[in-house]
Amino acid sequence: MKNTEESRVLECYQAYKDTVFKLAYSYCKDKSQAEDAFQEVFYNFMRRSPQFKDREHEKAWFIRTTINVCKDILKSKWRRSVVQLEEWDSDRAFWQDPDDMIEELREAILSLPEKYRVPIHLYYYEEYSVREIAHILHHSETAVQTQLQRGREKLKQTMERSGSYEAESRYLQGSHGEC
Amino acid sequence: MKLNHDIYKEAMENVRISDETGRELLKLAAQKNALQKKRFRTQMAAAIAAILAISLGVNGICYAQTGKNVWEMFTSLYENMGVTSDSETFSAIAEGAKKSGESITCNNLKFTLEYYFYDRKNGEVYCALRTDSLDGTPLDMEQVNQRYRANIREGASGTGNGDAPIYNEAQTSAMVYYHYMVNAEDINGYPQKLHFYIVHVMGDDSQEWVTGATYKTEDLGNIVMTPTGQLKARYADCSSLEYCDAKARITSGGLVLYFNEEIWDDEAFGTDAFFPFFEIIMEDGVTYRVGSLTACKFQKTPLYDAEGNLLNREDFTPEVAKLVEEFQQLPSRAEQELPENVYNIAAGYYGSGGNAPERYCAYSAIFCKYFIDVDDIAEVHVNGVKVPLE
Repeated sequence: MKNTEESRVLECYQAYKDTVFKLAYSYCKDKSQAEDAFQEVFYNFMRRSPQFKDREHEKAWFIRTTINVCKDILKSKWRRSVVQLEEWDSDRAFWQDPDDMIEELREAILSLPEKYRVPIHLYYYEEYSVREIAHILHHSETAVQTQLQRGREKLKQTMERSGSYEAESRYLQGSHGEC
Repeated sequence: MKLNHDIYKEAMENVRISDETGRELLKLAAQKNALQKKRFRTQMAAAIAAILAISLGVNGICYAQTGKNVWEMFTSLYENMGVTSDSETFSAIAEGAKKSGESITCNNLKFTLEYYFYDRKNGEVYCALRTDSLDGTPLDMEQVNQRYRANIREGASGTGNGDAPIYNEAQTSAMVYYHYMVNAEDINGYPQKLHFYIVHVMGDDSQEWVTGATYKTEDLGNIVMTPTGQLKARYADCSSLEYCDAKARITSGGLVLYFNEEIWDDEAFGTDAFFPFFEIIMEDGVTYRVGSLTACKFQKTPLYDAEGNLLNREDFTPEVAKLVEEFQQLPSRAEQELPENVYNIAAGYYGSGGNAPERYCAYSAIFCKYFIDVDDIAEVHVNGVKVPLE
C-alpha cells in the first residue's frame, strides 16, 4: 500500500510539477514563495490522498489547491514582510531569458494584477477554456471573459509604455488561441 | 491585440523548477506528512488504548474515571456518538481545549464542566460536561436532561448529546458532549467571556419544552469560558438572500448566517424557512446539505404554505425539489433517518437566535455527524444557486 501511495505521488509529481510551480510563481511572483507553495500542495496531496474521477479532475485539483495555498501564503503578514530586494533580483537573474523581448513580455505578464494574471495563465499556458477556468476559479464565465479581456488590455498598455510595443507586437498576435 | 498561446508559453518557459529542487521539496512534504500522521496516531492510539483498558469487560464505551486527559475524553465522546472526525479538527479541539473543573450543584446532582474549547473568532464551543450523583443513586440521564439543561446565554444554537451519555460502571457519573454555534451578541465579534449556564426546568411535563409552551426555569449558576484556540473557517457570500448583508461562516462543525434588522419586520420571521438550504460541495464531489430541507426531515417546518405551495420551491433545483417531495412522503420521524450515503445529508440542528443590540439575527446549523475539512470545500450553493466562496 505504501509503495502504491509513493508511486502515485511520484506520478503526480512528474505530471504536475511544472503546472504547479509555474502557476505558483505566476501567482506569488516570488521564487521562494512559489517553492513553498509547491511543497505545500504536494503535502496536501499526501495528507488527503484525494480520489479523482479522471485525469482532468486530478489536474483541476492541483490547480485549485495551488491557488488556495498561494492565497494563504500571500495573506501571511510575515510572508509579506520578508520579501527582500536581493531575492527579487536573484529571481530575475534566475529566470533571465536571452531574448529581451520575451523577457519583457514575461515581466509585463507578471506585473498584471492577480485577478487578471491567473485567468490569463490558465488560458494561455494550461489551455483551459473560459468555461473550465470559470469552474476552477469558482467565477462566472462572464467574469472570466472580462478578466481575460481586461488582462490583455492592461498587457498592451504595459507593453506600449515600455516603448517597444511595435517591435514586440509579433509576440502579441497570432491566430492560435485567441478569445 | 491577441495574445498567443505559444508566445505565452515561451515567455513562461524559463520559469521552472529543477528536478533536484522539486524532489527535495517533495521529500520535505513527505517528511511533514509523516510527522503529522505520527503525531496524530500516537495521541489517538494512546487515547483509544486508555479507553479500551477502562472499558474492558463492559458493554459499550465506558466512562473513564476523573484524571483521564483531554484526548481520552474527547476521543471517547466522539467514539460513543459515532461522529466522523477529521484528524485536523479533532487535533485542534483536543489540543486547544482548556480544563475547567468548575462545578454547579443542585440537590443530589453535581455538574462539572471538565474541558471546553471556545473559538472566539468563529463563535463555536465544544465541551464535556460531567454529571455526578452525590448520594450514589444511579443516574438516568434521560430524566436528568429533562430537568436540567446546559446552555450558553449569549445566544447559541447547541447540540448536547444527552441521548448518548457515557456512564461509569456504577452509573453514578456520566459524561455528555456539547457543541454550540454561538449566534449573536455582536456580529463583529464574540464576547471575551461566555457563560455556560445550568438551568433547572420546573414542572413535570417534559413535552412543554418540546412543544415550545411556557415553562418555569431557574438558573443554578454559570461557569465562565474564555477563548481557546480557533478552527479554520470559510465564508460564503449570501448577499443575494433577502435581509442578508453578511457572509455565512462555515467551520468544520457548522455554519452561521446573519440577517439584518429588516428581517424583524417580516411577518414570517422566526420560522425555520428563513434558514436557507445550503449545499456544501467538497473537492471530491461529496455534498453536504443542511438547512430547510433538514428541517423538513425533522418536521419542524411545514413543507407547504397555506395555499399548498411548496416553500421556496422556485428557488430549488429540480433535484432538490425532488428530495423535498420525498421527505414529505416519509411517514414518521424514525423513517426519516435517510441513508446518508445516498443523500449525504449533514444532519443538522439549526435554530435562530441573537437578539443583538444591532438587531441582527443569526441562524446557525451544526453538522452533527461530520467534521468537514473546510480547505476541501469546492463550492457552496444557497437555495440552489452557487455563491462566491472565500
